[in-house]
Amino acid sequence: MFLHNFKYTFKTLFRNRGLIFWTVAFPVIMATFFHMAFADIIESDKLKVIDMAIVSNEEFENNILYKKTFTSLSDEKNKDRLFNITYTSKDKAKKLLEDDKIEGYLELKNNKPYLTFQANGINQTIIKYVVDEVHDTEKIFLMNADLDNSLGTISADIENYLNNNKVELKNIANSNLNYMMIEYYTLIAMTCLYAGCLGMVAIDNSLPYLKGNGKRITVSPTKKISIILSSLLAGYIVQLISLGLLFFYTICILNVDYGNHIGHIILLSLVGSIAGISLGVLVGAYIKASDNVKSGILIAITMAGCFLAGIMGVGMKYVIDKNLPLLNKINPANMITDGFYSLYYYTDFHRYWIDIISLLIFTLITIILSCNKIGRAKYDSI
Amino acid sequence: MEKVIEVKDLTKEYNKGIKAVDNLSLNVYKGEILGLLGPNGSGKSTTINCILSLLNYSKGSIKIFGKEMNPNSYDIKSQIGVVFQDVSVFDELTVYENLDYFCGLYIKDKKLRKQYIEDAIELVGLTEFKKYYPKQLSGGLLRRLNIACGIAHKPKLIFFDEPTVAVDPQSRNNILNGIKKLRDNGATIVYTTHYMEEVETLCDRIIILDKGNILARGTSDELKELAEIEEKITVEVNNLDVKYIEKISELKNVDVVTYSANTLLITYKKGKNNISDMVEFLKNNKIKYNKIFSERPTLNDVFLELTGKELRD
Amino acid sequence: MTVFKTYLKILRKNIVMVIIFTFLLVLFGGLSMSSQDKSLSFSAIKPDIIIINNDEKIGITKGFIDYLKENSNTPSVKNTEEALNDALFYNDTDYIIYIPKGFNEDFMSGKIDHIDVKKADNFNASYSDMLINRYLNIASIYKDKVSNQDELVKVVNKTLKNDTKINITTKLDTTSLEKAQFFFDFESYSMLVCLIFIISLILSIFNEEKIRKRNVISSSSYKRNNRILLLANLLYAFVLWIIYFGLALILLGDIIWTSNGILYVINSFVHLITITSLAFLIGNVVTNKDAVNGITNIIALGTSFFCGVFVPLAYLPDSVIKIAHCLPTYYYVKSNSIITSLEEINFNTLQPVLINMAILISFAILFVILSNIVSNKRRKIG
Repeated sequence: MFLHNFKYTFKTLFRNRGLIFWTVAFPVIMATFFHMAFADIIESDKLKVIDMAIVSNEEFENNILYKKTFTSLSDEKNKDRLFNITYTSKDKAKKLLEDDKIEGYLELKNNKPYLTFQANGINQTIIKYVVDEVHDTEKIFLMNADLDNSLGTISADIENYLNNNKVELKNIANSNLNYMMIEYYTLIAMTCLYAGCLGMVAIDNSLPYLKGNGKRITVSPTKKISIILSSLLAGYIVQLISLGLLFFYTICILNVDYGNHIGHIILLSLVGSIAGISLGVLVGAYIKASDNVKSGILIAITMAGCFLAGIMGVGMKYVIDKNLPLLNKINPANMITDGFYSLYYYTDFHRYWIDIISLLIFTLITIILSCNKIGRAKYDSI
Repeated sequence: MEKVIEVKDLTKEYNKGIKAVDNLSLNVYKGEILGLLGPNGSGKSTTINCILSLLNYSKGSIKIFGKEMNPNSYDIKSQIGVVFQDVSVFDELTVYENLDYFCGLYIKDKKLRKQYIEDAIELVGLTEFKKYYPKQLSGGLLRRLNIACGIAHKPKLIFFDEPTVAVDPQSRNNILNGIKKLRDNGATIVYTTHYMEEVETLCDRIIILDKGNILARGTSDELKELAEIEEKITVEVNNLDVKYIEKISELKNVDVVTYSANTLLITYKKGKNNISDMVEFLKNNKIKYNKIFSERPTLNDVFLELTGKELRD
Repeated sequence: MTVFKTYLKILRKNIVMVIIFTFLLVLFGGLSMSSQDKSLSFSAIKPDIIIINNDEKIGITKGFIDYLKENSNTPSVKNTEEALNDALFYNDTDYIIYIPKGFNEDFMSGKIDHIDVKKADNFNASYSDMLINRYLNIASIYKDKVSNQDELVKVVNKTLKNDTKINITTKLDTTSLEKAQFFFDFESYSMLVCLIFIISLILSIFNEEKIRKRNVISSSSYKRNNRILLLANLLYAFVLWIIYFGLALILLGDIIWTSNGILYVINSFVHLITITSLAFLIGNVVTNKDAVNGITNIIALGTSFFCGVFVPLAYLPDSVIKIAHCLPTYYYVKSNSIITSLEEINFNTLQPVLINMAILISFAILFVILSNIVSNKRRKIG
């Protein structure tokens, strides 16, 4: 009986095109979109070479400090190169600024630097920072008569000053800082919870008060528990296949980094999928409505959970974690996402195990609630 | 006679104290087709669902094959087949797969099952459609599949819950003949419907239900005896003068006379030769008529008299 | 009239979808960037730096901390290692600096050779590096001459005081305009979903086999029905546009009535025409109404990811931008960004916007022609 029902439930689920689209194809398509759109976003956050202009008037040409500094900072051989500089007349610099070709231009007038920008921004801040720094250095030399102010040494000192720091800033942060990975983790969470649709369909077909098929099965000489378990197992296998596909696709084709703990990753996916299925069973058991309404409700719950876990913007997960931690503690989408995050970013497994245990508790509660409804032998109304 | 089903004092109340079935007792005997006749909402489906142990009931006892029926009576359940009102099949499985699935819940032996499925497919006439998916079938064919799924395991007791709703005449005949064949092969059948023609031609015994109560029971003829009227005569006459209506009502044996839409309807409680009397009256008064015919009362008339309303709403 | 009534019935059944996506527009378009002050004078970008001070807050340590606080923002994060790590990962802070115990004395005696920091992988972190180095370097230069710590802080601060003159040329209220641009960009996503979902659903229902056959028999009613259907769909699109226009008025206020604002509105109307015709094409191609939901989601999400709605165009890889050139929404989003930086409105400056609108209209014409071809073909087969 178990195998007979398993075989046919498996067939039914696999031939349900809508179901397969949402549980298998949709996550893969979303992963592709993420990959294409987010490929450069981390790179573009980094400092880029800034386009600027300098008015090459007589004063600038004579100020070796400024000239040397900017030559050095725009030297293409310098790996810390900051600027790409056009030396030009003031009018041309203005025109360049208007046409958005440069971020701003510098003009020296009466021994003072003048900067012109179109608007505020990080690039403008950097330009100002460098100009300030050169200005500071000038002051240091003026204030310290002791220092040798022959021009040759000054420029050497400036390079020294700009590049060789006396105190090293030692970065002890974990190098796995690519927060875009969270997008993929929420996607896995979404796929796990979409397993709810599979669980719901499986339960729909086995309960008399939901669908005619369930009535037929109930009047047959079969044990309900065997029907339900084999149906859910079939749903679970379909889910694991779709999850396996998604993992294969994201790892081998999109190069998503899930960290190096394969065993932990598999465990998290298995537990996450059980949580998803049991959520579907709960919705299926308690809500008596048409298929469309029920899967609508389930998808809405899933999407809301994934929204809080950061699928539409990674920041959302952090905001909730920080300000409403309880909300994300009961959100299965976040438990799954957070589990992957802790595998990727943290070196100990403390947080990971908390996530796994939360998922198991969530599953247990939903199963107990569902059993309360499903377990009845007879019903007051069908 | 051997009782296959024995229901005693069954009462089913829904939440708000509405009694869907009220103190109902009935027996179904081996080899018969019992018709449960009643309008929508009269408690037919509720009664069946209680008998099948799908629904809780407030009071009463139910025995099938002489044993108490409960949700774990697997030995009883294996002998029962049910054809539900709504088509309940898997859209993702073909005709054959659906049958194999549902039959497989009863019959474990694969060879035997295959034979049974072939028999069922032949019985309902779906041989050409084995590999079709339900969505590709017309409404009538879908109903036939629904029936095949309920009876493929050759049960001794079969429930049909309105299997012919919204079915074309050809499929309906096919279905009714199939049911007769099942009875001839030894099955006992409980058949619910609100189509009285079906009950009259098909059922050995009939129970008329309304608002959860049994109004009457017996064979078709016995029930018709219950009707106070014996005979109905219908005459199609154009523009009949009102004075004749009064004259007709004074004729021998006449009970009620009505005239509307150019149709004269006369009912009789008793008497013989009523139709020849009527023809003579029309001749004597030189009334021209198109058609005249006499009828025995139908179950609808019985129902009308018992409840004051028509079977079909 | 029956066509029109059926239309309303289907619309009413699926209105939830329209409401959800309109709500999303309000949520994302309305709340984003709401709390930025307008500034037409220069203000430096301040990175987020968390300072973990293990030293006493005296002398050079105090001076250093004061300097950092002046030049950065300090996000409020719980002082646990996990909270700090999370904050770094999600870019809640760009930088964490751990000032070691006994820093003030060790610095003076030159014993400090490194400071532990954690930094994100972005330009703000690079800038933070510069800010910190600058202070430490200047302090190092002076510390041999000035041995009193408080004196040292004073000298360093004097050196750091700057008088670089900065001139901002823009007269535009860029912040408000950017907010408006974000709203209108996101509007395209909501519009895509609401238009494609409803219009394709309705067309596919009307095109369904039985209805189609009946319509083909009487060619006059076929044409008439199609005209009513076209009219009803256009009316729906127009009503949707009016609603979104109203939302823009509520959320963005007076910006709409500036010449830039009016340009956004005109641009969104042109986009509306193109998307409506696209919805017609999809509705004519897709015959299975169960598939409409999936197709709508993929087209809307794909378009929005590729065309710079979810991720700004500047952050998208070139390969994606190339694909985006085939999608009409790209030209809409591109125009929006041009409008935001439009200072002077004349034929010359408007030219790129007008060209984009012309491209959008060409797309619309193409879609109309294609959908006519498809529906004619189908009619003959029927």
